[in-house]
Amino acid sequence: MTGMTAQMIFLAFFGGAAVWFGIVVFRTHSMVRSAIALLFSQTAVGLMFLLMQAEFLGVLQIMMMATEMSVMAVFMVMFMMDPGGMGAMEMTHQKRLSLWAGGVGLVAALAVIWLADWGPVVPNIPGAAQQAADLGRELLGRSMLIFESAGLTILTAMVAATMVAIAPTKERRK
Amino acid sequence: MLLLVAGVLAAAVIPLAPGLIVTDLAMGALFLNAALAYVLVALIMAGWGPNGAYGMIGGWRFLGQFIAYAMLIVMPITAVVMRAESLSTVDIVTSQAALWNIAYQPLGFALFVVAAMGLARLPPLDLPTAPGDLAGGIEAEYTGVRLAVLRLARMLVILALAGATVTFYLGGWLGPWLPAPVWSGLKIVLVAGLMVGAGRLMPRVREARYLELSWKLGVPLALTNIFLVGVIALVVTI
Repeated sequence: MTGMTAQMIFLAFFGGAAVWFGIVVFRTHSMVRSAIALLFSQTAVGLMFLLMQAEFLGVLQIMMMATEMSVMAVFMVMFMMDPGGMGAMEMTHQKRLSLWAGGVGLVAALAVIWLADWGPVVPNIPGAAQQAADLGRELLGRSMLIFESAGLTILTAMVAATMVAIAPTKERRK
Repeated sequence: MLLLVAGVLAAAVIPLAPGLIVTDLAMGALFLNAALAYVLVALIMAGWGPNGAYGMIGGWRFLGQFIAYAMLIVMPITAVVMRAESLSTVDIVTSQAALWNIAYQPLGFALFVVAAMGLARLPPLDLPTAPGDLAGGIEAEYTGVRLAVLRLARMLVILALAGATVTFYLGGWLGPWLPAPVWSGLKIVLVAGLMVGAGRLMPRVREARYLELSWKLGVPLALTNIFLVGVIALVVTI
């Protein structure tokens, strides 16, 4: 019971940290600080996975977010007028629309949480190695099409963004 | 400080002998990757933090270098994990009892060591902290205790990477006559020494060139390595 309570306290703590760093993303006036805050927010979500004994997902989330936020920084350097991220800039745009979108998103998320049928609590959590094996079978089975489509879409977006970032020129480097 | 934490966490899943490991996670190999990913975050922050041009350029240079080495750290590990059929570092060592991975997948070993040198900013891949080019790059604005912590953390990362190389490719603690921890220690010191020493004999590699080599040559080679290991694992039982 004590273990359960400690787990709940830490879960709430990291949940709060994730939300707080999410707010910091828009409160700061620096692109780099914003990116780092987003990273910490996502890392806190990864720690929540670990607390819920989803070892593979937790470690993966913590790893991927460090690299993803850094790749985001690469695009930031490519596109922004402030390449080094040293200058200050406003992190919020289209405020009225953003507020409405955020509000509707929040209500929708809360509705899903309250109204969805989550089923009974799993009594025996499979071991970490078993979870990884189960996840592998899921990804290469039923969910393969969804993940492959998502992966291909992201890759296409990245290639397109890189091509847009390259200034059109006829001179060849070699 | 984050760099120091990343190094310590990465070293925590390196087994020195059966039972002699800080924590034997079922996701050890993945955890090692996760810890090493924060080396990048730490160095970008260290470069950007002092608000100086040299440090900032050094930090972003390291990010460019990361794009080059990242896949070549992960993909060879994938092949190692395929053979061991486990992400646990202890299982990875025991899977090499009959034949070390350096002989089983030499291509993966070569790619991993070069990528590890990129991660540790070792010559010839040390442009983010190059003394002659950026006055120290990421380290340019630091002095005293802060510089000492930065350098200590780098040494720790080098040792963790040498430990990872030994665990993944050189049979970890396995070896005749000597006790297991001695074998681990000897191998780690040897690999760390080679990584630190070998690159000093070569000219520095520009990031653009490193990126080009990594993606046009390294990634196809790493995919070939995964394919070969898959075929061998299916056909032969070693």
